[in-house]
Amino acid sequence: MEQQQFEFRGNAREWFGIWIVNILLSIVTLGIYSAWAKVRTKKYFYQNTWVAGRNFDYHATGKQILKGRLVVIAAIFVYALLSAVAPPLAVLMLLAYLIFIPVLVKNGMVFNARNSSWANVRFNFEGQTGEAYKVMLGLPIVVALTAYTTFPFLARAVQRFGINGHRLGKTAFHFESDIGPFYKAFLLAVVFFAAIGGLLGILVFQLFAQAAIVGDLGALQVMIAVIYVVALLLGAFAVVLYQSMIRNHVYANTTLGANHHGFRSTVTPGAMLWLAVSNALVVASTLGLMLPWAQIRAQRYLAANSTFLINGSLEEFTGEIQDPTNAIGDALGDIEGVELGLAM
Amino acid sequence: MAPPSAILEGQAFAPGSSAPHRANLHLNGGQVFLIDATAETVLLRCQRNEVRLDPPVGNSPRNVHLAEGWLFQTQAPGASALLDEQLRSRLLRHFEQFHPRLFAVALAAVLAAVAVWKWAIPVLVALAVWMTPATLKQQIDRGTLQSMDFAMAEPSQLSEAQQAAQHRIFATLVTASGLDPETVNLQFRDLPGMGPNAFALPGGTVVLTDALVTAYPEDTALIAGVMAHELGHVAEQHGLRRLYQSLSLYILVAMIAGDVGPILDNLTLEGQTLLNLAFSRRHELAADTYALRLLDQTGYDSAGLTRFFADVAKYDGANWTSSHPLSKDRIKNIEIYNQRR
Repeated sequence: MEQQQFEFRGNAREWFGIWIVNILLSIVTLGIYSAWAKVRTKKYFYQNTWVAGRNFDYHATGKQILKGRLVVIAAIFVYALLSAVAPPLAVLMLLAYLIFIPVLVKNGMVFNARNSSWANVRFNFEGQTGEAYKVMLGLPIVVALTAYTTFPFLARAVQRFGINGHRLGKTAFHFESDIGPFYKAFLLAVVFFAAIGGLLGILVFQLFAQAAIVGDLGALQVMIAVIYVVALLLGAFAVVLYQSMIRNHVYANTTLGANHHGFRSTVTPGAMLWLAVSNALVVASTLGLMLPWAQIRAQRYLAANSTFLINGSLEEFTGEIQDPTNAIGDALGDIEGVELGLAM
Repeated sequence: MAPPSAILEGQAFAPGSSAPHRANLHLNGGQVFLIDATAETVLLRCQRNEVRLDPPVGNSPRNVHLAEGWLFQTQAPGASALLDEQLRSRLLRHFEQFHPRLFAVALAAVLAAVAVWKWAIPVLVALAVWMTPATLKQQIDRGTLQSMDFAMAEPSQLSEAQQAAQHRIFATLVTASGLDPETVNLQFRDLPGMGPNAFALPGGTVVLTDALVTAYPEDTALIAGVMAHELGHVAEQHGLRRLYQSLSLYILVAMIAGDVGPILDNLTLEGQTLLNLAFSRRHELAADTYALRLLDQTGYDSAGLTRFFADVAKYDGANWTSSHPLSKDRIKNIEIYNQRR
C-alpha cells in the first residue's frame, strides 16, 4: 500500500505578513474587510496543504462571506431588540433559530464543501436534512435525557453524518465504527478531568478552609478566581485529549471510494497538549504577535501526522463544478460559529 | 499595443479532474493555447479574456482558471505580469512581504487598533446610546423587572410610610438633578441574598432592596447618597454604555483574533471579562462623583455615603476581579472630593 504524507508548506514569516495586513485592513474598514481577510486566510492554509503532489484550494468570495455576516448581525440586532422590548417574542425567535440550526449547519457544510477543492476537483456534501435533524436535534435531546452517558453515540453519529455525506467530486467518503473507541475516549477524558480536578479541589478546599478561619476575604476571592481558571484549563485539556484520540480513530476508519483508500492520523494527546499549552503561552506573552507562528506550527504538526493510504494505484477523481450560489444559500451558507465538530 | 506572447510552464488539470498533466500555456496575442508538454497535443484553445489569474496568496503555485473549467498551475515568475494580476492584488502582496516595511504595517495595525479602542468605540457607543429611543429604554426596564420578579425578587415588605419617606428623598434628588421626573422612578423589591443594595436600569428605574431601607431606617443621608449614586448611573447612561461597549469589544476581538485554537480562546474570553469589569469600576467611581455633586446641591451630608461604603467593605475582594472598586478607594475618592471643594 502506497503512503502519501500530508504536507503543510506554509511558513510563519509569509503568514505573518498576510495576517497583519488582514488585521490592518479589517480595522481600517471597521470590520468590513474581515470577510475578504477570511477568504485570504483560508486560501493560504488550503493552498499550502499538499497530498500526493496536489494542493487544496478555497473558492468562496469575500462578498459571499460578507452577506452571511450581515444576515447574522441583522438577526442578532433583531434578537437584542426583541429581548429588550418583548422578552417572550425573543424566546420565540430563539426557539425558531434552534429549530432551524440543522438546516443552517447543513447548508454551511454544502457551501464549504463546494467551495473547497483538491487538484481541480470540488468537494461536495450530500447529507440529508432528515439526518441533520437526527444528529443535531434528536440525539442531543436523548443525550441530555440520559445525563450525557450516551454522548459517544452522538459523537459517532456526528462523524458518520459529516464524513459519509462528503464527496470528492463524485467519489464518496465512508466512515463506520464500533461504539467502543468512542466510549473509551470519552471516559478517559472524563476520568482525566475528574481525577486531576478532584485532587486540585481537595488542595484548594484546604487552603479555602484556612483562609476562612483567618477571614481574609480578598485572598478567598483570588482563590475562587484561581479555581475558575484552573477548571477552565482542565476542561480545555480534557477536550484536547478527547479530540486527539477521536481524530486518530476516525481517520483509521474512513475510506474513500470503491477502492477503499484509507487515512491515518498519528497525533498523540501529549504532543497536542504541549502544542496547545506552549502556543498559548507564547502568544499571550507576545501580546498576540506570535499568533501566526503558533498557527503554522499547529498546522504543520497536524499535516505531518496525517497520511493518505492509497490502495493499489490512485485513480483519477472526477466531478462537476456545482454552483453553490443562490440568493439564500449564499447569505446563509457561511455562518460564523454554526458548524459541526468534524474530526477532519 | 498587442498583448505579449510568452510560454509558461506548469501543470494542467482537465475540468473537474484530479489528474495532472505536465503542460505549457502559450500566450499568443489574443489567443491562448494549453499544450500537453509530454504528448505535445493541444489540450485547450481559448481567448485571452477567458483566462483568469486567481489572486495569488503567498508563494504557492499560481492558479490560472481557463475556459470550460480547466485549471493551470504555474510557478513561473512572470505569471503575475503576463496574466494581468489586478493592481489591488499586487499591492496586497507587496505589503504582505516579509520586509522591513512590514514593521510599519504592524505598527500601523497596532496604532489603528488603539485608535479604534480609544476613539472609534467610544464614539460608536455614544452614537448608539444617543440613538436608543427613550421608549426602548423604558421597555428594557419593564422587561428586566418582569424577569427579575419571575426569577428572584419578592414583592417589597416595606410599609407605606417607609416607602413614602424614601420617595420624598428621591423626589428632592431628582428635582435637583434635572433628570426627567416622568421617566425616573423608584421601586422597592425584596431580594433575598443581595443584602443592602440598590441598582439602576437604563430607562431611569432605580431599585432599592428592602434590606437597604430596613438596615438604615434613620440614616436619610446614607439613603440619599446611595440614591444619588444610582441617579449618576441613570444620568450618565452607564447601563447602555456597558452593553454597547462589551458588544463592540467582543466584535473587535473576534475580528482581530479569529480562530486562535484551544486554550487561547478561553484566555481571550477571560481577558474580555476583565476589561469589562475595568469599565464597570470606572463607571462606579464616575457615579460616586456625580452623587457627591448632587448631595452638595441638596444639602445632604456625604458622610452618609462614606458610612455605607465602610459597612459594605466587608464584601470587598480583589479589585481586578470585581465589578465595583474597593470601598476604601471609594471612601478616598469622597475625601479627595471634599478637600477640593
